[in-house]
Amino acid sequence: MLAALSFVPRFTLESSTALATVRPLPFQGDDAELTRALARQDRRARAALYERYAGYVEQLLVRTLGRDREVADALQTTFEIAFRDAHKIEDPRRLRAWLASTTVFVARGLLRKRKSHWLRFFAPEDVPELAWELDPVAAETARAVLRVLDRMPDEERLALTLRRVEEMDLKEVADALGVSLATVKRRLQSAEARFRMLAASEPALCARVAGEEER
Amino acid sequence: MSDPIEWLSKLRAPSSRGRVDEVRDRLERTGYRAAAPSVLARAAFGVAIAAAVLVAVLAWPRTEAPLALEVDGVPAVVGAEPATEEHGVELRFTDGTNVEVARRARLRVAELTPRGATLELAAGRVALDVRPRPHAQWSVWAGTVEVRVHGTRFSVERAEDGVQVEVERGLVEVRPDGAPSVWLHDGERYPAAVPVSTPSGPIRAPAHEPTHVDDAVDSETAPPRPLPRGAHATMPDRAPEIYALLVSDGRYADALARLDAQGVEHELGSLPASELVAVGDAARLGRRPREARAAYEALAARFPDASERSRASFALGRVCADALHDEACAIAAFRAVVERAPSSPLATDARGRLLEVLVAAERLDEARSVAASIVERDPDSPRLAAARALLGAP
Repeated sequence: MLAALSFVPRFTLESSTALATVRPLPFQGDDAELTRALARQDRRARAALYERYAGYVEQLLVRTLGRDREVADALQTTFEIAFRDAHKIEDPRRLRAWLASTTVFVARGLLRKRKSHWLRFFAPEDVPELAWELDPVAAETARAVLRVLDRMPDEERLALTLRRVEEMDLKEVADALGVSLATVKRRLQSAEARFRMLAASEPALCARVAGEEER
Repeated sequence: MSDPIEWLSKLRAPSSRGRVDEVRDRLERTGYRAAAPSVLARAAFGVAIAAAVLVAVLAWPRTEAPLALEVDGVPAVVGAEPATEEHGVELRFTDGTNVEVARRARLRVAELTPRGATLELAAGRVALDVRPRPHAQWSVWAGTVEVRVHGTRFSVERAEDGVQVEVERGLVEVRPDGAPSVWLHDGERYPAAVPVSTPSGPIRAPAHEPTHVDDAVDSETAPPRPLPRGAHATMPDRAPEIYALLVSDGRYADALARLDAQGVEHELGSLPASELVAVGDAARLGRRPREARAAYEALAARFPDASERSRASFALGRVCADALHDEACAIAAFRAVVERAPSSPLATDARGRLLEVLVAAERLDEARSVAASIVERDPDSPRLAAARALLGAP
C-alpha cells in the first residue's frame, strides 16, 4: 500500500500504520540554490527560507525595533517582501546579507511610523540580557546601555547595533542600510561619539568605568 | 572594558521561539504568499495595463492605490499640516472618511495607504468620522498614545495634561505607551471609560448640533465638545467584534491577553458565535489549544444552529488532531462537518482529515468507509490517492 503512494516524488510518508500522513519533503540545497528556487517562486523554498533564517531575522528586528508587540508583524512582512523580491538578488550567495537589508528596510519603515522611542516599549521582562555576569549591577548597566541607545537617532542606532551588537562587518552594515561604505564609516564614527557622550551622563555607566579604571 | 562601546557587544536580544512559530503559522495559512507588489511595481503594472485595457486602469487604482485627500476642498498630499490658526478645517478622504480639525489644532497626515491613514496630533482636537470598511486601518498618534480606528465616529484631543478620546459610535482601540489596549464603544471615553453622557463628566459640554468643529471656538481654551450626530454613515447593527478584528490583524497575543483579562469563562459564556470562532482561532494560532477547544465547543453548545458551526467544528478537529492528540475528539469534530454539509468544500477537507485520523487510530474499517466517500465525492481531494490505496483500488 505504501508503494502505491510512493510514486509522488516530492512527498514523504510518516507513519507506522498502513496508511501514512503525506508531507512535503524539505528543500535541500545551499543558499545559492535556495535563492534560485525562490526566484522560481517555489513554495518549498519559501518555507525553507523561513526555517533557515526566521531566527536570524527575528533577532535583527528585536535589536533594531525593540518593541516586542510589533516584531511578529515585522517578521511576517520581512518574509513576504523577501518572497516577492527574491528574484532581484544579484548574487545568489549573498542571500543572508540581502535578507538583512530587507529586514532593516522593514524596521526603518516602522521606526519612521512610530513616533515613540525604542526602549519604552520593552516590558521589564523583555529587557535584553547581558551575556556577562547576571548580577544586579550588570542588569542596571544593561538598562543604562539601552537608555543610551534609546536617546540616539534611529539611523545611528541602527548602524551601531548592526555593527556592535550584530557584529556585522562594515560592508555588511553598508549593504543592510543601503548606503555607501564611506557613509557607514561616518555614521558609525558619529554614533560612537554620541554613544560615549550620552554614556557619560548615565551614572551606572560612569560608576562602572570608574570602577574598572581603579582596578 | 572601560570603553562603553564595548558593552554593546554584550547585549543579547530576547528571542521568542513562540513568535517565530506564530509567524510560521500565519505564512502557512496564506500558502507562503508574497507581499503585494511595491509602489513602483504597481505603477509599472498600471502603465502596462493602461496600454492594453483602459477600463482595467480605471478600476485598479480604486482598489490598490492609497487614499487621496482634500483639505477644505483643495487636494493635499502626505505630510500635509492644515493651517488652523484662523479657523478649523475639514479633511475629506476618498474612502468617504472625514476629519474635522479644530481651530489651532496641529495635525499632520503622516501616511496614506489603501486601507486608511496615519495622523499625528501635536495639539488640540480632531473629530473623525471613519467610514466602516473591512480591514480599514486608521491611526491617530497623540504623543505616545495610539488610537486605532475600526470604522467609527470619535474625537481625539491632545492637551498639555494628556490625551482624551471620546467615541460617539463604533469601536476604537487606544494603545497607551507601555500599557494594555483600552477598547472604547459607543459613548465611552478615554482615559475614563465611562459614558460621555455622565452629567458630571469633565469632557461633556452642552449639546448642540454643529456639522463641523466650530471655527470660532479656541480649542486650547474651550472644553471639548460633543460630536455632531445623525448625519453620518451607520455602523452595522451587530455589536463590535473585538476578537475578530484582532484575529484579522494577526494579533493573537493581544486577543489572548484580552481573553485572560476578561475571564475565559465569562467570555465563552457571553460572546456571540462569530466572536467565539475568533477566540478559538486566536487561541489555536496563539498556541493555547485547550482554550481553542473550549471556545469551539462553547460555540457548538450555545449556538447549535449558527452558520459558523461547520468552520468551528473543522478547526476543533485540527486542534484535537494536531495539538491535543485527542483522536476521539478530532474524529467527532470532522464527522460533524461532513454530516452538516456533505457537499461543501469544507466537507472535502474534513473527509480527508478524518481519513488520516482514523488510520492513525487504526480504525481501518471506518477509514475505508470514509475513503470510499472520498473516491466517490472528492475527485480533487489531495487524499484521493491515499483513499484509493486504502481501498486497494487502482
